[in-house]
Amino acid sequence: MELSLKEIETLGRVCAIAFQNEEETEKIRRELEGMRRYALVLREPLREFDPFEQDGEEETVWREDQAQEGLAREVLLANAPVTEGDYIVVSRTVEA
Amino acid sequence: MSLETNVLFRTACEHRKALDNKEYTSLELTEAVLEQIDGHDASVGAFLTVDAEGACASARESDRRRESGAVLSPLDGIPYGVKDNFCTKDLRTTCASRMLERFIPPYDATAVAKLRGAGAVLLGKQNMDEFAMGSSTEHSALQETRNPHHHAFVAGGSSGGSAAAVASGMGCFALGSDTGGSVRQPASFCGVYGLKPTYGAISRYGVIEMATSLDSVGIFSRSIDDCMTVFDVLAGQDPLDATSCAKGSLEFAARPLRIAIPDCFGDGVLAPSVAKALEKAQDVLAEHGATFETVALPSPEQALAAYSVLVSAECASNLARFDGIRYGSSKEGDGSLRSRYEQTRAYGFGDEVKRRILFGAYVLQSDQRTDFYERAREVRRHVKRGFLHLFSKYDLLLCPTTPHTAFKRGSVQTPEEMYRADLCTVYANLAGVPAISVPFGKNADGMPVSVQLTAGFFGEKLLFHAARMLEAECPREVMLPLLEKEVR
Repeated sequence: MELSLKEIETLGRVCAIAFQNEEETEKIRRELEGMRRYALVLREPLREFDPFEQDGEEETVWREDQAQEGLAREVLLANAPVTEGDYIVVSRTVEA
Repeated sequence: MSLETNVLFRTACEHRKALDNKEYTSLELTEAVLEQIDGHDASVGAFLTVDAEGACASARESDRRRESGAVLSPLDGIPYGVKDNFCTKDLRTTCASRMLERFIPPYDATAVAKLRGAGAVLLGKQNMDEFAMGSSTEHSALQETRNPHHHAFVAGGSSGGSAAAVASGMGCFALGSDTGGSVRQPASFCGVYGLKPTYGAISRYGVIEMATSLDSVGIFSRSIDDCMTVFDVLAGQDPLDATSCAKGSLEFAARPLRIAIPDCFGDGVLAPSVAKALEKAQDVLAEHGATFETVALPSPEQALAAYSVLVSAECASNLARFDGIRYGSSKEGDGSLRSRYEQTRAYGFGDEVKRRILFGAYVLQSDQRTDFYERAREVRRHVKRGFLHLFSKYDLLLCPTTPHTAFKRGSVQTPEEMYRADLCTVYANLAGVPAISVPFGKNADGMPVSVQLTAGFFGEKLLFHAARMLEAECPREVMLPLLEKEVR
């Protein structure tokens, strides 16, 4: 709904700006209505933006899976601060 | 000794060398610039206040320092001007408004204080759109600024006086403020460099606010080296501005750049001369190894509207203090306090300022806030996220500074037309990233054309690096205004 003269007068009081006459109030009403309409585009959905989407010619480069030897149990245990047999001891975080 | 006019169009770095070589003194240079202002500013309208006495006194001090080998900085003895929304101790600061026509600040803005500390010579205060609201410097309550290249055209705005002064040899560089393009757009219209740094890179303490979340101090110069030198002096954290940040290095190890080009400039959006300049800039950067890709900018129409809503809301809040009691010239009403407030603000503010205050109050009303203000903030977050993504993949964004060259005085009729012209510049302010307008030739009418480079946060060094490549292709002589043809 378009801005009314009454709304403009209220805004004038809120902003402590006096209008000299009805002509000026009407002129401001027209200008503010133009600005309001211009800002209505904010209601429209936003354009999704992702620059990565546009890489049509680029492809993800994969390497072939390769089986590798894991670290030896003794090496891992040697790095642990506290051990118990074949296990690493960690602090209790949940009370039983 | 009277200096030749062409000396006035030298860069600050060239002047520094001449001062070091005793080719002329700072006082001689300052007097020559003041003569230029005397001779040409009546028709251009760049200055609101000229402080000839203060400038000559500063220049004499600089000459004494140089004689004794105690030069303060590369800007020591170099004359410059500032937009009239920077507070300057004991020198009138009007914001080009009747509201502050007689305001004499008791302190300097940090940027001005830093330049004083660096020995630069302040010439005076430059014209602007009232309270920095406008894109043409036609909305100054005190005078209009004309484009030095052709007086029938606007100088751009809101820092039009500063751009026109640098373009016409009335100072070696200038400071302006950029809220949505107010440094870059007039720089583009007047054919000089215009930098909007990262939000917070330069302290805003003492700069009269327009929209606090978007305002940045900007620099006008005639070369990239000058722009870098001034930025180096001004950048850095200031305890008086909580949004200011520590200064980073400006060193950049050259490598091929990845540059994004926006896809929103379809047929007819850009003036042919602007489109041509953009293509040429692309070619020049490609010769230096840059690669290009076209990208979508985040919601251009909504971004423009969001900017207009946020600026109006913040203006309404920031300008509430100008009531004739706390700040500003007072005007009697019918004897009541309310009437005094209303008459003061009705008389003291121009039409554009009133419009933005009223629209700001409208979008902040409880029943409109969600639809306009909150939504605008959402759009701004969307833009910021988009730019973070963008600069994670690309070094720079290359686009025009403005879709058209300078327009004729009085030719823009509605506020919306004026806002639409900010299409290319508001993004950098919404996202808080740095951008620079680089002069890049002239159109068939002899009016300057430019391109704009934008980088990620604190990417000023990248901007300078790329802008220097473009500078090498567009000699300064090409961009000079034909001052002898004052009215064509």
